[in-house]
This record gives sequence, structure tokens and C-alpha cells, in this order.
Amino acid sequence: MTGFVVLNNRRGIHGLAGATLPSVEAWSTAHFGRDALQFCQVLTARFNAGFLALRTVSAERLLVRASLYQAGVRVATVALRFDPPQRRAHITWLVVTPTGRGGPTSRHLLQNLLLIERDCGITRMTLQAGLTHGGYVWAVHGFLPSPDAAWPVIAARLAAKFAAVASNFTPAQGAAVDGLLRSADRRALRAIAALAMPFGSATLGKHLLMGESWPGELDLSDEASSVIYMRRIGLIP
Amino acid sequence: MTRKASPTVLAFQVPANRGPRRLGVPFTHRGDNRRLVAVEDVLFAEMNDPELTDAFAEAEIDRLAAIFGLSAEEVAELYRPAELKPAVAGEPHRRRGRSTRAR
Repeated sequence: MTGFVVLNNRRGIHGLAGATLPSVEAWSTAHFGRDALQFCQVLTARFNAGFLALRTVSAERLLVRASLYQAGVRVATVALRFDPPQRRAHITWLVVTPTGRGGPTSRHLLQNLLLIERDCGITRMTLQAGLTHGGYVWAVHGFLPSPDAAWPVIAARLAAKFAAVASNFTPAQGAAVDGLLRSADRRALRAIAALAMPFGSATLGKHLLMGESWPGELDLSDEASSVIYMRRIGLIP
Repeated sequence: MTRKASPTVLAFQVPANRGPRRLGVPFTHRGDNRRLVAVEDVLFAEMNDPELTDAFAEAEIDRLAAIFGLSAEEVAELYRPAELKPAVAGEPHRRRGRSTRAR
């Protein structure tokens, strides 16, 4: 049983339905500080329209699946899980239609999500970095492996990958990269992503992390991580 | 409009719900939004933007160098390889112009 919200932000029309809508309203009032309609309006801000399905789990977690529209065309679909008592939001998946490429769709959506997280007191975003580009993209967006124990496993894979191409680099570069991969500090993932030595048509950092899959988290209470993220999604220059 | 049968029949298998095509270009209509791409791909494409080419700002590189005890030489080797390229003294600056002759 799910609550449904339909919004037409251009015409100011909305519709709410679903048997569990009262529990969604209660969740939104308790954790977001405003009603469910306003929650949906923030998530769909700067989009013409949205269709949202919301469901609460154990009165504390909210599952959201939203489709967002511009000019009558769906431009993005997202599935999220909010868990304010744990101060955590999880991006299950986020897809954009080809019309969203090169436009501000993904950035606007991530900015809207950040506004909701701020108002819900959420300080941690989690996701599974994967697919073709995700292993590199989310590292460059400030995400780090979580839990800490995940990093040595990733580092071992990256070390094997680097060993295969190490002959292309100077001994000094090779030693420095090996040193980063031996570090127990998970922030070494960020140092690896930033590697700027050219390799093929990309950088070594990009080459090593492309195609990788790792569980990631972004700690918004960590200034360094939040600055990287906000710079990436266009909130700060 | 019909097409000649191909020797490789599999090449002509087309989904039943595929839209019509005109001159090889698929129609794009308001309902044609079934194709979806992961946001990772879109964000990756955006990073080809010259303004976002650098993975991390200088300040973040310096912070990482401090965390992992990298020397200035190692930072230059790993994160600023362009700085290592020796400048060729006296090399004339090459003018950037059109690569093809004007007609």
C-alpha cells in the first residue's frame, strides 16, 4: 500500500491518494517539518511536474519513487530511501532520459535531494557505486567506501589493475601509487581518483576506477567531502 | 515501405513497440521517453566539460597530499604531470587557425 502524489508545478495542480498517505503525512511532518505535499514540491522543484509514490516503513523510514517531467516529457526517475533517525538517505537508483544529457536535470535533482536531506537532518548519503562509470564518478563526487573494511578489498583489486599497467609509469610514480593503495585510510580512494597521469585516452585514476563497484557513502558533516560534492553538483563554484 | 531481406535475419529483429523511422532517423515524440540512462553516465559526460575536467580542486589535492605524506615532487608527478613537461626554449607559438582551407 502506497501513497501517491501527482504534481503539476506549472499550473499549481496536485493530487494526493493512497491508503498509506496519512502515515506519509505523519512521517513528513515529524521529520521534514512540513507536509507531504511540500516534501514532494521540494523534490520536484524546477521540474514542471512529478509523479511520486511514497511508502513509510516502520514509521521511521520513507521510500520514495519519483518520476520527473519537463514540458510533458519524463526526464528522470529516482528511487530513494530516507532514514532520519539514522541520519541517512540512500540513493537506490537514479536514471535520466537522453534528453537529460547535457542539461541541468541531474544536478537539479541532486540539489533538490540535498535540500530535503538538510531539512530532515540527514548527514549521510549512501549508494552502490557501480555500472560503467559509477566507480569513478561517485569517487569524484566525494563518496568514500563504506564501511571502512570495504577499502582494503577495493584497494587489492585496484593494485592488481595497476600492476598490469605499472610499466607505463616512472618508478617514482609507481611507488607513490603503490603507497596509496597500501594505505588503510579509505580516503586513498579519493587520492586514486584524482591521479592525473595520462593513460590511454584518460587519466590513470579514471582507468583504475572505471567499471569498479563499491558501497559508498558521503558524509555531509565532513567539510572536505561536502565541499567536493556541492562543487560537483553546482551549488558552489 | 519495405526493405530487402537480409542474409542475417537476426539483424532485422526489431522490438514490436519500436517507433517508426523516417530516413533512418527515429521519430522523437513526447511519449518516447522509455530509454533511460544511469545518472552516472550523465555525470560522467558532464565531467568532460572543460570547467569540470580536473577531478579535484587544488585545495583538495593539497589536503590529500598532507594526509598521505606526499612530497611536492610526488604531488607534481601524480597530480600535475603537465608541470613536468620541459618547456622548449625558443619554440615559436603556433597560431591556432582553421585546419582546412577556406573555399
